[in-house]
Amino acid sequence: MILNQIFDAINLGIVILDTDLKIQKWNRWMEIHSGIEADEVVGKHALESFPNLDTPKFIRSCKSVFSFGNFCFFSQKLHGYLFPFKSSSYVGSEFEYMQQSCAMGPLRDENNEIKYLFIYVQDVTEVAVYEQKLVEMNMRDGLTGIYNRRFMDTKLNEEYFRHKRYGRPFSIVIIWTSMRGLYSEIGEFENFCCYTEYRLFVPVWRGGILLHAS
Amino acid sequence: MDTEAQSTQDFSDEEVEILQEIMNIAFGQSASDLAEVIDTQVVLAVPFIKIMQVPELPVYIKENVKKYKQISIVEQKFWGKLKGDALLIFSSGSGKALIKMLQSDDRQGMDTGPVDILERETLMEVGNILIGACVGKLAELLHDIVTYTPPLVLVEKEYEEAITSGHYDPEKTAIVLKTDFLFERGNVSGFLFLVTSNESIKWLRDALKIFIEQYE
Amino acid sequence: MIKKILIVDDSPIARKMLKSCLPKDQGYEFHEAGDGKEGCEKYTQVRPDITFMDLTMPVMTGYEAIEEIVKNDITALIIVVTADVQMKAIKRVLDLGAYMVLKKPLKREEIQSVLLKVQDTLQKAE
Repeated sequence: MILNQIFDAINLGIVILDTDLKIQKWNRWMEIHSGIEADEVVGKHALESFPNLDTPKFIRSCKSVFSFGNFCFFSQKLHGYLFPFKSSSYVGSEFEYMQQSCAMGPLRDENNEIKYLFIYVQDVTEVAVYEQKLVEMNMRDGLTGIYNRRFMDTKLNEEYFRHKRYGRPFSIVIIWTSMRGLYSEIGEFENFCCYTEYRLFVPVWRGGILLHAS
Repeated sequence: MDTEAQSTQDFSDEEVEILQEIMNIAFGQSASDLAEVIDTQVVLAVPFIKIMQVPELPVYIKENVKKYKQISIVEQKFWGKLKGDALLIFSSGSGKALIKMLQSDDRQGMDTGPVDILERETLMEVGNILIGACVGKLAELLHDIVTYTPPLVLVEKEYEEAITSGHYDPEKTAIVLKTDFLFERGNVSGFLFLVTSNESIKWLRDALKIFIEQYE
Repeated sequence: MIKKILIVDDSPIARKMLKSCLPKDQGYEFHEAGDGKEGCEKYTQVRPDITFMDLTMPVMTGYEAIEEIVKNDITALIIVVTADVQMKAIKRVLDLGAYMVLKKPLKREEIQSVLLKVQDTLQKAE
């Protein structure tokens, strides 16, 4: 009885699946954030109720938990979310769905055999929003709002590795537009400031990215 | 060092042989089950066991990995009666090779996020499964249950800077279990080191005794 | 009638574990070898009724030893005992001429049942 109370009071989503990946338990947190009552999903196959879970990574993780009893982790950074719950925050969020940090682990019976797995779901939307803002601030020029030199270096590295992985052509076109003789409007500089604008295109499928360096 | 501490650190030849055979069974079962989970043939070499003082550990690991020059590491702590650290060391380029191996559709991969994050996550996933397989099977044979911390990943570092002596307790003894592994599809290779802590050693010796008594 | 049993495994503990699973009251004659090469030599000397063979061994692997033994004696009855039971490995040893594959760690009941099956095979061959 006490465990049941904890199960439903805890500020974490908990889902329990059996070896056929059917939902056996769906706690109160999951009901509230999904809008789906436990009765509606318990007994149903997880992949039918949530088709977005039907990925090689999720299935591999379930198999490894049932085979080895290890824990599997699903970070917000790469997965975004496991369960597509609409963002419940009224404070500005750029994410359509709740961002989640999840983990999966084994549940054993009295003979120590793994009969179920649990998935816990943590809402990390707020943290993800702050992180996103920090990344933006780090990659954009504060005055003009366009991408800065750090962004170019990061993107160049990424696209170069992508080119190496997939073996597709890779080229860079840089067009200089020099605008000399502009004074800074910030006020404190006495010296002559030069602004040079770079336009950098990363080809293949990504399209163009405007950035600024001075 | 007192007598009790000394006796827990000295394994007899028979105890080492029993541990060797248990590791052989555990890793053999792991390879077999891993092949099903990640859908690729895995070769896990017969594990090599060495008992050493913890300060010797970084030197020992560096000696084994220096042929790789650059490495990626997945580290995970495990807790049960058997507790310790698992260090999975991948050869250079493994992250990218694993991405290709695990993604059935290249197009899906191209649309995924930044490559470095993808590489990190892939190493973490495969590392987590490999460590879980080996440690889990070992624990199962010894009738123990372990839990794990989330894995930590270092991607493509020079081995000299990646392996530090920093956080190891110099008073402790480590049982180092080393195996070479190879994923045949994707040609990914590396080493797995399991470092058990001092507290586990007494329990482990008792567990080995119980294991072999089944066969007497 | 099973009389002679050869156990080929580089681990003395593995050999001990296997022997302990075999019945003590049947008057079996046990022979042991610590690697594949020694296993082949012992086989030629002893001509066992059953050979239990590990796969990963130094000097000569179980795969090589099976091939060598079967080449010289097509009737050799070799039971592979291994922890790694991936399909590829099983298929390989069966193609080389192994009789069956058993998974480590062995259980007494499993070994008893295998011995009955082997006994049956030997009697039919006679």
